[in-house]
Amino acid sequence: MSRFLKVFSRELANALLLVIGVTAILYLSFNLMPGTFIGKGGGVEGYLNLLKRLFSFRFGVSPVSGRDIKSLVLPAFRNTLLLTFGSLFVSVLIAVPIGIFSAYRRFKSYSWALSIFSYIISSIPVFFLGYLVLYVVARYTGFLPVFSVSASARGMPFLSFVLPIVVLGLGNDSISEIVRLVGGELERVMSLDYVIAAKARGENMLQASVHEGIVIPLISIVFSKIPFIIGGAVVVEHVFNWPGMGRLAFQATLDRDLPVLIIIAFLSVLFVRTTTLLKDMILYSYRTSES
Amino acid sequence: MSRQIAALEHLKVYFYDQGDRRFIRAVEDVGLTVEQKQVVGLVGESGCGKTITALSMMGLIDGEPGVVGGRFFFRPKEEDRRALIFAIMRGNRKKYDCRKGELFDLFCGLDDCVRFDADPFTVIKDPEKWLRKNGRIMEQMRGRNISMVFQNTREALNPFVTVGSQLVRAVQCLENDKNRAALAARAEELLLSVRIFNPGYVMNMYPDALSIGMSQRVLIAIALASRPGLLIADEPTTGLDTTNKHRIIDLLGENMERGNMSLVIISHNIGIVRTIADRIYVMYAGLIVEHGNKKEIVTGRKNARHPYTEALVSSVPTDADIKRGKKLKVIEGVVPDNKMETEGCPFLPRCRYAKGGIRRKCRTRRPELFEVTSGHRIRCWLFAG
Repeated sequence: MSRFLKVFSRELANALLLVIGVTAILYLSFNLMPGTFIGKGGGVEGYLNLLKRLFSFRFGVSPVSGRDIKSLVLPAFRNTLLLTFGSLFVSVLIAVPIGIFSAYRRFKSYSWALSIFSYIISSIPVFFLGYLVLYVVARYTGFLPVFSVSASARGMPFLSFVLPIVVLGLGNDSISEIVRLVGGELERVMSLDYVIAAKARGENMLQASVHEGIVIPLISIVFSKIPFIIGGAVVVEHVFNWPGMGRLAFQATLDRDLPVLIIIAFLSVLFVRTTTLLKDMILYSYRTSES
Repeated sequence: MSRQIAALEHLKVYFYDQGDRRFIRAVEDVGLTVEQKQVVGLVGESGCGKTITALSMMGLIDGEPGVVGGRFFFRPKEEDRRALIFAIMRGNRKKYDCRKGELFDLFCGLDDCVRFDADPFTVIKDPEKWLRKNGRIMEQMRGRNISMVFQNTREALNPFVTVGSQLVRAVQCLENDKNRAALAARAEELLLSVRIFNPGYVMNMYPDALSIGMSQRVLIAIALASRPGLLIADEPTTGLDTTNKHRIIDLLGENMERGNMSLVIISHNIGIVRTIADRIYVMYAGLIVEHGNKKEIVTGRKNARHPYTEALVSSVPTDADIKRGKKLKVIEGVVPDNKMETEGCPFLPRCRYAKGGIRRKCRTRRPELFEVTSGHRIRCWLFAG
């Protein structure tokens, strides 16, 4: 346990250093742009001032829109989190069974059809898939709300979450990667000695190989996909008019609203680095359980 | 005569070598019978096909073409017989002749999947069909009826799961008891029975923290958990020091007595096998070259043994040899390459007795298993007729 704490504090210090470094770069590049924000043009002192404001979460008021930045950014951040994790969940839900199936049925010829399906799904651009789904659902069925969280919030708000989450879950290119990684790893692990030994004792092969064959590759790939999915979310947020961080950032860029932009960038860095830290710690605890 | 529990007949296992584009005869025409509560030893040098024989009995070979011939008769426990018959009959249009008294053929349906062509020599096998069929049959047998202790001790335990939960999982295979405390108690009992005296402590350990001897014992405990009718122990003493070797062997013998279990013990060390086995099979280059009772094999008259067995036995030094400081005897030459199509006796290049007139026969024709006395057979022209 003490070793876990030691590693955790080391990783945490690493993460903090990275966040500080990224904010420094942000500060430098934002200084080059026209406009104004906290500590602009103040040199080192201005940077420290900015850091203080960022880490105490006192973001102030946007000079462009005149609104409180915190009340602007945090709901958008929450919506993006929902979209990211929801879509990852959908991807995992679709990809893992296909991966298991293709590893299990090495000799069956029909598992390749599922793999091909996963590649096709992953190769469709997400904006195309989004408009296609919107068109089909809105025009022919209409049983799911296609638009705007705020408009349908009075009825059943979660229904309007379904389409964007499913579209991003299908369209981010992680399905084919998860299928390939989980399938390959599972197939490798299933021929390891301890799994064969478990099979020889009449136990379930999948149960014996679940840790090394599924959980560990899945954790490492899912967490490393999070930054890309945040990037992909910008497109989906636009297509579905989802009030998330990507849309907010886009709008802020057009308005040259630097205070909002720098805070969005800061929150993204914080979020991505936190998930990486989480991944490292989970994998570490798995590895120490061996020795 | 006591009842047979397993009988392997004419087992053939071939593999295909992609590089050389030819078939490798890993095991050729191996037969083996195990009676109830009997210990059978399978002895031979590395690469002679001992482990392949064991794996094919467990239905664990999935390389191509793998098992291509033979029958494996096995007597299941009373309560599993119905399920086995169901598995054998399922999906069959033809009626198979797969019963021999109380024994059932676990390789049933193999002939439908394999076709031989004589010239050029090819084996065509439908591995998908065979694995499905054999998998269905072996699913009923593995664990509760046949179990195996693997050669590679360190890698045969799941490194991500504690020893305790692996044991509990194995116990669950036998009795589907939901009571966790009862299962844990039974697991501790098993660990005690393999002489691990602090079971509560060991149960919470991960396999990487165990020594080789400990993990060997844990593996034996796991194999015993399901009270199998037949246990195959593949090199159970590799990597252990001499005292531990004998402890593990004693342990297997003890548990065999207690659990009404038969044991097939596979080793390259005839000195270890002879302390426990009732019958010994000697393998060489994929063939059984001699089998008989322990007495006949180990201490038989000098002139009634296969030359290979004789060399194998005399390469184990006796106490007197060690005291006198004699050099260890070795068998000259190396194990022949299985890819070679040997026409005559595979042991010929290393044989001391193949001299004079008999040598021509040795070179041209492969000897049969000639019966010397009842139950003692030798594959050598010296004992023909």
